[in-house]
Parts: sequence; C-alpha cells; structure tokens
Amino acid sequence: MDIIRKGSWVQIEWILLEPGERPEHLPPETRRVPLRVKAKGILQEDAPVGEPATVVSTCGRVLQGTLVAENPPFTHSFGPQIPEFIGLGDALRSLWRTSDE
Amino acid sequence: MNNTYESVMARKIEIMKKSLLMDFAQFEQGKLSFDYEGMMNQYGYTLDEIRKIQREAHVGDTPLIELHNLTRTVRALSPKGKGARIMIKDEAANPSGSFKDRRASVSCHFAQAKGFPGVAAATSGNYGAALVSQANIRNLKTIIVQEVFDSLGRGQPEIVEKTRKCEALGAEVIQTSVGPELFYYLLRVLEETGFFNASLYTPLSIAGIETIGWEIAEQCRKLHGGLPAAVVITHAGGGNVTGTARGLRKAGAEDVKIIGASVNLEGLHMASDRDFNLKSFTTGHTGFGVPFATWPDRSDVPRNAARPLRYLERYVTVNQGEVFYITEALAVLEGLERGPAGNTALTAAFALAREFDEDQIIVVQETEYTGAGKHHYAQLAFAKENGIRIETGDPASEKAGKTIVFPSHPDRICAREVDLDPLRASLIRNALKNRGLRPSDLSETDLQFLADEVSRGTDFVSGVLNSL
Repeated sequence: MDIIRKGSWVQIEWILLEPGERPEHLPPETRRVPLRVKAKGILQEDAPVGEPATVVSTCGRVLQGTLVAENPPFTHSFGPQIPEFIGLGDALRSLWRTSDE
Repeated sequence: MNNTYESVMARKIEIMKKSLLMDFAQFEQGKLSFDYEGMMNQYGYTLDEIRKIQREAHVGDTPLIELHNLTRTVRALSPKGKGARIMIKDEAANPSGSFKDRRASVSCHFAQAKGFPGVAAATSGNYGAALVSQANIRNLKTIIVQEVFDSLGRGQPEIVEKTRKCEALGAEVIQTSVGPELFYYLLRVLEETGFFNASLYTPLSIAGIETIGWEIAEQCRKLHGGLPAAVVITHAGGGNVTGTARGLRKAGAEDVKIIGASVNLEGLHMASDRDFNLKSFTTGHTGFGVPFATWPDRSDVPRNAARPLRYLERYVTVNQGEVFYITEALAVLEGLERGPAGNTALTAAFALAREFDEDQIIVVQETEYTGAGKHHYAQLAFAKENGIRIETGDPASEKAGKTIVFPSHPDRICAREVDLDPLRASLIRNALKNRGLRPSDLSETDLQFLADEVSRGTDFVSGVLNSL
C-alpha cells in the first residue's frame, strides 16, 4: 500500500451526515446516501491511502478524514468540437447576406 | 459544542448576527412583513461609494458591446422594421470573469473594514472565484463550500472548474456531495473561524449589483443617445434581477422593461442525487429561478435582499439546446467565446428582439468567462456520457434530463412566457404558510408588504387571500 509522507499536499474525505442525520425533506435518492465531504491540506503524519489521516487546511483548520490521494490533478476538459455546429457561422450569415441584398 | 444538523441549524440566527453584524429582527414588522428598504440601507453604502470601492478593486465599468451580426440575424428573421439592436454587457471582463465580482466587492470591503480575518460562502457558481479574488485584494482568507459530486463521486464539470479556479486563487475549498446541507457546513465554518458570512443574499451583495444597472443606463445615454427598451437578465437566485433593476431605477431609468430569463429544467429536482448530473446548466435555471422568486427567504440569510418579484415585469424560459446554439453563434458571429450559463439572457434576447423596433435597444446584462468544464463543448460531452440524447429539430420538444435539442433553424429559438401572476400568488401563499398564518391574521402593513413583494396592488393580494 502506498504510504504518503507527512508534509505532502493531500485530499481527504469524510462523512458529514449519515443518511439518518439528513433533513427529512430531501428526495429519497439523496437521503438514502450519506453527505460526503472532500477537502485538501498538509498531511500531519505518514499514512497509507484509505486510512484515517489528519491535515491542516489552507486556512489553518485541522481536518480529519480518510486519505484519498496525494495532490489529485484536475482532469476536467473542454471536450470535442460539436459536429452539428460546424459551419454555423456561414449558415447564419447566409440568412442576412441574402436578405440584405 | 453540539454539531448535529438540528443543533447547528438552531444556532443559525446567532451565527448570522456575529458573521454579518446584522440583527435581522430589527426590521420585522406586522405578522410577516419587514422593512425591506430599511434593511437595504442598513450598511449605509451609497451607489457612488460602491462605484468607488469597485474601481479600487478593478470591478465594473465593463464594455457594452453592440452585437451587430446577431442583430442582423434577428432582423433576417423579423418582419420589416422589427429587430432591436442587441447589446451585451461584457461582465467576463471583471477580474474573476463574471458579474459576481460586483457582489463580492462590497462584502470584502465591509469585512476588511470591520476587521474580520476572512470571508466564507457556500456557492457552487462563479461567486466562489469572485469572492476569493476580491478577498485577495483585501488581504482576507477565504473558505468556499461547494456542492460538487454525486454519490458515485462524479463531479459536475462546471463545478469542478469552479473548485479549480477557487484553489488557483488560493482559497480553501470544501467539496460536498449532493444536498442543500452545504449551508449547514458553512454555519459550522463561520462559527469555527469567525469569518464574515459573504452570503450571496445580503444587502451588501445586492448593492454591489446595482452598479450594473446604473452603468447600462449611463452607457446607453452616452454612447447610444437614449435608454434601452428592455434589459434581459439571467435569473436564478434573484440577486441579478433585483440589483440590476434597482440600479436602473437609481439612474432614473424606471421605464426600462425588466425581463428575467432562465433555462427550463422542468422535471429535474435540484436536491436529487440522481438528477444532479443530468443537467447541463448549474445556474440560471428554473430550478432556482422559480423557488427563489416565490419564497426568497429560503436563502442562507433570514431575510433575503434579492426579491425578484418586486422587479420582474416579464419572465421567460429558454431550453438548454437553444442556449448552447446561441453560445456557439456568439463565438462564430461576434468573436466572443463566453460561458453558456451567462448566455441564457442572450438567448432570450435573440428571440425577444423580434418583437421590438429596429431603433430600439435590448441590453443583455452579463457574460461570463468560459473554460474547461464550463465550456458548452464540455457540457455537451458530459451530457452524452450521462445518456442524454443530443438532437437537432424543434427545441420546444426538449425534455431536460433526457434530450438536448439544437434548433434546426434560428427562427425556432423561442422565449417562452411564464405567467407571473401564479408565481405572485405562490409567494403570497408561501408567506402565510411558512409562518402558519391565516388571511384573517394579517394587518394593513402585511397587506401592503405583500403587495410590494409582488409588485401589484393590495386588491391583487386580497384576491389571492380570498381564494385560500
């Protein structure tokens, strides 16, 4: 198991509210699952992924949870172009280029 | 300290007092009324002072851009003599890329002046980055609580981008799974840190938006010889409508028509773990627009400064496929690559401009930045991954959560009218229901308050009360 070293920038996760602790007015599919929280901070002791860990957050708060990963990257992207939109500029211009003349 | 959900929520009023330096109880009147204007003036900033604060923080004075090619396109689809000039306030030019910098600017100024060590807010939208950006200028720390992922851990790409941007600007970001309880966690954060509660719904936040309305009036007068016929405003929580309309009034532009526009997400529940990743818009939609209009005080402060039914004269909806199409059109016709959620009002304006004369002006009062995750290509790719069918045809046939329909021709883009009277009646019913009151309990003050709340006469209020 990967041990992450003390002082590393890590993400932890914990359960903030168990299903039974969540407000009653929520839709059933939401209330059936716990409310989970993720946060990042500086790891206070060496720990393996998946085990309890303590971090100090950007604002100096002490947070405890399960160690998720060391400095996980952002992977969201722009996605591919949309074929339906190729040539839209020409198509729209053709409406008024014709009607103006 | 007992931190169960019920215990923390029970301390809400006390936490608000300390974190806002505002005792909302002082404004309460009658059985359900409060002194709205008194609350709006409580912090004591004038519009001129706010303009100065915003200039210090590089916010506002954004360009008003005339969209010549979109206007030409509208005119090609309109009867002769129709097709208003469409102009857009390029709010993406603000430091963090949206009009939300205006909302954050005054809160951060106030928090700094009062010696708070930092600011905190629960927000999954552009406001998070705006708050961090403004807090950095004021040397304040920031904590942002965001609703980001579903129970399978899948993040909505637009909100993941908001996390990235907040962290890039140096904030502490707390990400939650789906549920409105991020406000519960925010209360715990405020209690623990003593930070200022930079809620989106305080008088400071709304006062910060008034400058948009004021600038629109001034820019139209100076550059275009007169006021616009209408301003179209993307409507979600109500702050954008409220602040812009108040700013226009302060600039003496009472006759400018205030039109709200939301993306129609009918059928999707905003607190549903299942529906969370089936929507391609995380704001500017009816899932916020309707409930916040009909019960403003559902917000994270006891009395919401954003009260859109006081100002809305028309409310229209557009569909997701139409907004994506207009977002693409804005890029390829006008050279402006901007975020889709901010183009909700532009899409409505594209349809509405056909009703107005050629010499009239319609102003769309915001754009927002675009980027990975929140670009329309990213949202469409994510929709496909979630089983949403992408089609071309009649956008009216779109079913949120199942299909996204691009218009097969631009004349199929439509601003669908929402009758405001049922929303007004709903606000009146909610005002009574949430306080357990009957019509016979209400005083004259309450009747006048409800009339002001829905921008109608007391006879309208009495009519609704008689039907209960």
